[in-house]
Amino acid sequence: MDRRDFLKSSLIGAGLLPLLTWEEAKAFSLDAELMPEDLELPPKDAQVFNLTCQYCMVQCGYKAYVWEPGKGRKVKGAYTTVLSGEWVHPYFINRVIKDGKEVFVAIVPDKDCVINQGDHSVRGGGNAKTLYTQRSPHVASKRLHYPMVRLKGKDSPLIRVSWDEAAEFIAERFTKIKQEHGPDALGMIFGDWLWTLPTYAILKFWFKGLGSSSYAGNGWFFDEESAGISAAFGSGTRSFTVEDFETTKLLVTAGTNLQANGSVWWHRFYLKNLSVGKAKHIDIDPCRTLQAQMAEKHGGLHLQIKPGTDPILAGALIRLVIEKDAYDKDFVRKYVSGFEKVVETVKDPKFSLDNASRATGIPKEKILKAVELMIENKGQSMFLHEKGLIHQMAAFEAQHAYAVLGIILGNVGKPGACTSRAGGHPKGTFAWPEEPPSREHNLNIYEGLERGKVKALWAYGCNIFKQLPSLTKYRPLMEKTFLVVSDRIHTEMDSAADVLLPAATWGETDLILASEDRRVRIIQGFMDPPGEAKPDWEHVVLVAKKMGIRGFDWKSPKDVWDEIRSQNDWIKEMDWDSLLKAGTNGLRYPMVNGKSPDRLYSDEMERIMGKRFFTKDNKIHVEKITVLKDFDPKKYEWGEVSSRYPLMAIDFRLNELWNTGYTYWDTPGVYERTPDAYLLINPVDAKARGISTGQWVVLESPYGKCKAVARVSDKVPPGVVAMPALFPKPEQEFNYATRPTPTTDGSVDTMVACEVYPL
Amino acid sequence: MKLNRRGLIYLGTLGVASAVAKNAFASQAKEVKVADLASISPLKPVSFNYPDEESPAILLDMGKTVYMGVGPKKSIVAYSSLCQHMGCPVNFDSKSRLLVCPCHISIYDPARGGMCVEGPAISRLPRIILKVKGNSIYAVGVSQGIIYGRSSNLGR
Repeated sequence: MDRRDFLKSSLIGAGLLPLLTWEEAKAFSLDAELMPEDLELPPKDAQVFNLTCQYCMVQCGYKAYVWEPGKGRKVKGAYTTVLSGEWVHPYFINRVIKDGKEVFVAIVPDKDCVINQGDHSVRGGGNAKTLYTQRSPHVASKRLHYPMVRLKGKDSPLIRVSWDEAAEFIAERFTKIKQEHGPDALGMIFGDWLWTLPTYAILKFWFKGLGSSSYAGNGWFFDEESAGISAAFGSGTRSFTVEDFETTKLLVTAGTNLQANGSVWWHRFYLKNLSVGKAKHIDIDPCRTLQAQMAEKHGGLHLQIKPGTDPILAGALIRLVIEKDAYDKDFVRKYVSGFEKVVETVKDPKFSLDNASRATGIPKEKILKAVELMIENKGQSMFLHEKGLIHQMAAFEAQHAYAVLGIILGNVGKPGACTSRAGGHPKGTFAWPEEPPSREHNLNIYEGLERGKVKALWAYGCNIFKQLPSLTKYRPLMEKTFLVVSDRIHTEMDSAADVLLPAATWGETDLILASEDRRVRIIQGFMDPPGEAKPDWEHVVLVAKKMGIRGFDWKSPKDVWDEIRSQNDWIKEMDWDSLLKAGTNGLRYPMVNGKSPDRLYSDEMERIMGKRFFTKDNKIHVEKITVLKDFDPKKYEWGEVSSRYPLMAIDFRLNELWNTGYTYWDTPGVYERTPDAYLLINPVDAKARGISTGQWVVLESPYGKCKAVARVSDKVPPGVVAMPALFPKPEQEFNYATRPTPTTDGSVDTMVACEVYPL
Repeated sequence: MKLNRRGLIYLGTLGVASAVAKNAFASQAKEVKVADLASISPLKPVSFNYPDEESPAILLDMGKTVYMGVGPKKSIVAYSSLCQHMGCPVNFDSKSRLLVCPCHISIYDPARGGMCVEGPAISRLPRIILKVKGNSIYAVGVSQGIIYGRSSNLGR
């Protein structure tokens, strides 16, 4: 069968996987078939740099090896064995410019890093393919090279200018807007995981320099998505250590697919624990993901929950634990405040087993089996949750309820046991300058946009035309503002940007990020940035200086870091040289007198820090569980389900897609898996609408629409459809259909009533 | 001959494919007999090594015409059996007709050129180029990628 016949057959159903459309089949990548030349491997005298991955919260360690072309090693035959972490995949190697000369670079997962031990995810494995090189016309052409401005308004062309001219242009406009409309007319939306140093620079500039309180992060309006967990522990900081995945007896995941986002954590759990029968897994997710299938295959459970009913399930599980008198009494007596509120709250009939089963769609026997497993493994279980809870309207209720469940079972601060968020992106914020007092009444920047109060926006490491909620409503409003964009690539924001500032990024400058198990590492620069691109924090310095604002005299990344760490006791001991020396294992926070606990809320933490929890009274607080009394799914997204919008849409992370997909099309063997966004729809719903797999469909909500390729599948239950978040193709972005209302923890809501029909 | 866009893509593809093949066959690729056609049954994998004993491979008759298949039904394909993620040998799951790595669950589709459809692998399984001569089937080269553990597909 040649390529053409293959493509045709895909259209008519030869594949066992969901069928390909013609569009999808075309993306079956020719590039992936190209034969790489025989590889040069890093020579012994290659220059070595320490890195962490540019993507998720796991923050795997990598090494960059740099050498002169022709000086590498050539090896005949096999040179390494299974699981060694030593193989250099052809995609790990690239040619880039360093100090003006072309060099080879190999980006190799570090087998000495305690986090990944030589392993990598499908995202991190492509790190080297994303590096700027003229040898890849695709990568080279998408990068921003020079500052560009529209001198005469939105209809004028973007023209190349110097950094000085760009900074002057922004400074003039910001000054004028501030004078005419006040500081809060200047708005800023930032990628809050953005390499720590730039994040601090923009926050300081916004709050202290401009005096504006109009801002939001990617994915949230206000707060930091941890309200339900920090209400209990006094902090949303993740409390476990990566080794726990190999020792836990039970993993309970709610609204987090670690296999697809946090892969190396899941790999360690799967290979060393679940698959060898040492642990079980309960996965709570409306979608029957690969993770859910593996949980069931190895003796655990998939609780296929009706979206948005998590507070009911968690309340029912708490009630069953209490009814069976199986909570950890010692732990609760010693460390928990407000347990009586929990007992009282879950007495409500809506948390009965019968009602919970009805409301959540989970069979009673599965709920009972879950409780049994949780009780059997109390004090030895990891309870993790993430965006699946945080991005539903009742985010606080869901997050807090699961936290309380984990806590009363004593899963706190012990080896293999925790109650925590899992995380999505690395930690990039270590110091938060004081916000202007106006913030108290200016929490929602989108309201400011709607009322015409926000006149300018700085999109800072954040694609505001993809990552924000309800874009059908908000994008046109954002397009009208004076729009400054700091980014590494050209995006759809180009069409409305008044200024484009090119960012030097991963590999091109020294950066700092922390893993969500609290290891801080320097990511060393090892190559030249394209054109005149500069690190994002320097964008801020240039504009601040033009505006005559003092306090932005940093000359190097180290200067910025020193200012950050002086404001945070957890990291103040971590000077630049110590971090450099600590390499890919980094230093852990919180650090006191050179010591850091492996786990938060542990005996070790109490010894080192003199306290066990971050709350004022050093107790865990569960009193806020009373919010569950008023919880009713119909108050929120389900209240919008109607004959016009009879389905509930949710989104999910694609394993192979990071964030807004700014590097998605760089790795041919990866993007060919999912060349278009797809929509999972149950066979019952598909049949009723005449939809078959491979067909283009429109998802329409009361707030807007987007399109996707249908995949008819029982991975979603009847009444529910699901599509990937942030797919990097026009019109395939779910956020054009999402709701404009902040969730109860100030985050965005990605659950929405909808209808689906053929395009 | 009139060509629409689709046709152009098709011809372009052949150009690339033949260039790839030439490269793969270049000079040193060796011919190794894998099996007699009569001994191959649908969905029953045949193990062999290619290009040398250090690199195991798997031959599959998918029972119907598949991408780059050879044999009477153009249904026979072969791939390196070492996962492109960390080198664990993949297993053929005859129920799903997919190749599954037991270590971290990378999943490949032998009917779609060995494309990785799930899991941490970042590329397809390298395809072993097959040739039918008489009643036997031979491995004659490697296409699309480098076999796990090596820096070159050339044999020792």
